[in-house]
Amino acid sequence: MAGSASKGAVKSATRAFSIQRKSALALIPLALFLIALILALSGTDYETARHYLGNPIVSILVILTILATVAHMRIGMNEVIEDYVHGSFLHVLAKTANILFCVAVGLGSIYAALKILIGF
Amino acid sequence: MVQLSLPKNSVPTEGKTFKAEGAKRVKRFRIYRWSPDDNQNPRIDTYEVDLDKCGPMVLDALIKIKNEIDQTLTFRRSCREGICGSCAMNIDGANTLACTKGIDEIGGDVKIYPLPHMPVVKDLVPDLTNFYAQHAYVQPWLQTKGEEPKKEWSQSPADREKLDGLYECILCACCSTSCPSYWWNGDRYLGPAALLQAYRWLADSRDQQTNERLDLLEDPFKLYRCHTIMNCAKACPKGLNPAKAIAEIKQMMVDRA
Repeated sequence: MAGSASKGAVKSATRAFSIQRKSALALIPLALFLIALILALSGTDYETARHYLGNPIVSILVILTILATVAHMRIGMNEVIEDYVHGSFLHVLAKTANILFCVAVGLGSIYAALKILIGF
Repeated sequence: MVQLSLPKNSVPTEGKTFKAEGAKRVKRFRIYRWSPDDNQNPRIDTYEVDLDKCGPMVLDALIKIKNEIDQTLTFRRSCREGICGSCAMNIDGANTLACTKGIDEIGGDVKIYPLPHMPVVKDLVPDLTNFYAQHAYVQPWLQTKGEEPKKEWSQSPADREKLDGLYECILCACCSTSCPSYWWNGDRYLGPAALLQAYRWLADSRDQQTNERLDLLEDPFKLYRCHTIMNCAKACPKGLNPAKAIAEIKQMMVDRA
């Protein structure tokens, strides 16, 4: 493009858009992995399921799935709030609740996955 | 929160009916009417039009109604051939130009409303002040840096071709007012028409303000309220695709990040 002297400032709106698209792409194989894992573990007992989830490769894939899901979920819900929730107080409240919910779900899920992996 | 139902004073009531006495081929036009002067709710008036004494387009019928049946009916019109965009309105549930919409394309009664979700000045005339301000915001003119050439700014045929599908926009507002995101956030989201125009200049090889133009659009609302619903492309009476132009802008944003 003619006259592109600088790269311009990277702003949060484009960053969120980019993360949303990248996490959506990442979730295609990760969701397939998750479905396969759930099918493989269905009908097995607690110890067997824990054994498989403690495998480092499985655990890393589970953590990646959690991260991609939480990132995608936060941005997706944020889009819905920005579209439909008007009024400054309710808007800020809804966005804050969305962040807190996603952080809580993400941290709780990763903690559980790490606990099975490391066994602390 | 978003308002999903009309306020009480905007709910249309049943209005008058104007019969076409002695006509053999009758088409009923049910038209939204509202005047700021009488403090009444909007109403839907019904006009019977003799198709044997009327031109083929919806605009022909509107002009016939205004000339022969009810002179108080208010609407914009100018060129009659799909170039000026003045007669954009909601006909048979879709935004389009009255001058290029054939009456015979519509089965049953012809329902005509002003462009959706815009303030109404009177009857079928929407207030487009905000729409034009959004167009001005994207600075729709050639911007260059450095010394001007002695003759014109030259452009190769290949670069000129990149503007096809963009420059033809007539700013009728059919696309923007068919977009749900524009309905909910029309005060902050620029809408498909303004963004198509923004991309028309971003895609112009002669323009040298690419980053400055992108900076103008770098905002969660101005650009990123587009969720690729595609109503804009479906509504455009010129067959353009604003959603594709918006996607190209987003791609440029990501590429420069």
